[in-house]
Amino acid sequence: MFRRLLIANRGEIAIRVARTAREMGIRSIGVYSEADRSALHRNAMDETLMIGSALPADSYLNIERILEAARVARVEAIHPGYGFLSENPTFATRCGEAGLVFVGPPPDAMALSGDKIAARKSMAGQGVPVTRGVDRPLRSVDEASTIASEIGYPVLFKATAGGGGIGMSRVDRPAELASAFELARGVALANFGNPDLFLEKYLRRARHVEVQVLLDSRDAVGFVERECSVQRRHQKLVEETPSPAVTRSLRSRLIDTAVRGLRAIGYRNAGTVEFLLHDGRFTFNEVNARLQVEHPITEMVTGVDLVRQQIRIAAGDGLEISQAELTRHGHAIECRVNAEDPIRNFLPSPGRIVGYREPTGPGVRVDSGVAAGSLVPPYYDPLVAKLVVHAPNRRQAIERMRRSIDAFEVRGVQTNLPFHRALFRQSEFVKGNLWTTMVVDLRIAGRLRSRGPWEERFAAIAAALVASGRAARGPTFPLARPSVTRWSSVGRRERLAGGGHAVSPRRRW
Amino acid sequence: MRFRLDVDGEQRNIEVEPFAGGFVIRIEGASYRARTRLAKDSVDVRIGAKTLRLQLEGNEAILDDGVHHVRLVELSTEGTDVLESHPAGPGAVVDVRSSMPGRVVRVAVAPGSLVERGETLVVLEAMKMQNEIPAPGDGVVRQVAVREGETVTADRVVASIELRRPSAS
Repeated sequence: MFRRLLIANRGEIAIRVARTAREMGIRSIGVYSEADRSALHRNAMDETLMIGSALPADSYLNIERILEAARVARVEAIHPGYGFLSENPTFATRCGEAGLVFVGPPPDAMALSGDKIAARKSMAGQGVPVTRGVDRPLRSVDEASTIASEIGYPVLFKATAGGGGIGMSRVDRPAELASAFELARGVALANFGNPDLFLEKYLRRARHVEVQVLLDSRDAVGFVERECSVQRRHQKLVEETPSPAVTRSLRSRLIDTAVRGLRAIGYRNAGTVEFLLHDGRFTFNEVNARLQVEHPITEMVTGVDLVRQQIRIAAGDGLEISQAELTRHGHAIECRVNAEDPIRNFLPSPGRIVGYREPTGPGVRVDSGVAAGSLVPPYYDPLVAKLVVHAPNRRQAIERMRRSIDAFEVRGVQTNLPFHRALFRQSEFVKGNLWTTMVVDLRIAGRLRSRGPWEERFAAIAAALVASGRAARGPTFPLARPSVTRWSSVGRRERLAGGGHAVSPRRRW
Repeated sequence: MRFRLDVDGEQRNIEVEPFAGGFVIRIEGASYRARTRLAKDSVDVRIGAKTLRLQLEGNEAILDDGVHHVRLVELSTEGTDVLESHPAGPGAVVDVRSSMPGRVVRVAVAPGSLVERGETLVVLEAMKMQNEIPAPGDGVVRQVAVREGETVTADRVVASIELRRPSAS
């Protein structure tokens, strides 16, 4: 087993990987950018190294800097987390050339998964159903238009080198095709350095389900599906397992298909095969060649530490579990807590977190990258924490999630918790009737009026200031010098709360 | 009445208007209806189904969950935010502010540029998302206050526009 592991990531995932490394007796070496000098993930590591400026291209996305850090820190392996360099075959190859073990799939399998057309072709070759579409880059608008009329509108343009929902563009009518084609090519070029597009039939009201697979050199294990239909701009917001729509027989077909598909491309380590579920049938969507954001829900229902298995596979120690031994219990749901304001069209909300309190209790897990006082920088993705609950069944998991959302307090930046609060009261969601455009179709964010309990206190203070005539007396109260002592304010608080004592006799300072 | 309120180090732009015997409180896009009742040494505020009892004492507000440090930062009885309300007359020079903290990835205009309402002045990027800041009305750019590559805070002046005719908001 490795003795020293470099974790080439930041935020909650870096912390989560370090936790498992520590349990395995492996020293974790973290990296950070200038913007992350005081970031929480530094505290989770045994050692950390500064690798560059705040801009991702100069730090977390910079292959040279990360390899240099690995050399300086004398590590044996690199865990890439998700995002950043995790699905970059050049990085995986360079790790190998430098004598480092990359904790992830072999570069060839990763390159094939990342090329959407190649992945589609190879899955189809294995008898995996694929959505109707083309298996080559579109050469012109005319070609796109011919194919679109053959398979029928709506269609979806996808970037060959795409990922993370970027570069996808839905076209409902022939008249929209030409401009959508040019726009999507521009987006693909800007984001992936490759303008190539292909297209597929767009499936209305489809569900997104995916199967987590672990493969070592001998064996493979496919896990119960995760449903990730609650999305915004093709990005997942809520994931759950098992899917409320998948029957036992469909489940075993999904798992078989995913395992077969990954084996066929020589895949090793953790990977996920995504499918669209439509009218009771499933079609291949894409392969995610990395540990996924939503992996904790699988861990909750199976008790398997996926990062531990990843590290064992990479070290050549093999899987600790087999398909036959795998059991699952109950239902798990994850909410992605992003620093975005759902009332203002999910506008990014970076800044300083001035107050922070996580929900606790049985069946509640929070994978977080922040604490009170943390800075959420504007340079990276908006995920600050993942709220995960586990319960005996879906209904109880929903109740547990509602309670946990209300108990999750993040002040100083806006988060999408108010959106989650509304979603978990939405009847279609509660019934398990999910589809990938439900957030927009049901106007869940558009109907939000309140940001929740903390901001209601803000509103109450504002109302009291105006009603009592205080606000009209002009800006600012005397600062710093408190007009009341802590003792007297505690006494008043107790009186307000209905207590009879000025200071509770049991209180200790 | 509009003011900027600081509670425990967190600041918000707040607008309070009388409404049906109570108030509507708008906080950066969210809105709350509140009714208040003044008692001898406390104020009861009802928001939705909840009633919060609070006491104002110097720069502190004492609520059921603890003592909060409260500060009124700015105060105005007139609207100041051109983007959101109150049209300004022709010839008025209005400041355009950033909607979010982020990096300036593009400055689309220069002093002297003629702009139309809705035209992009500056593009900000934060957390892998781009946000375009539009002109609030037809006019001439008088000043551009940011440079490409610069990092700005929320609510910072990015440009000033001299309006040619009232914006239609």
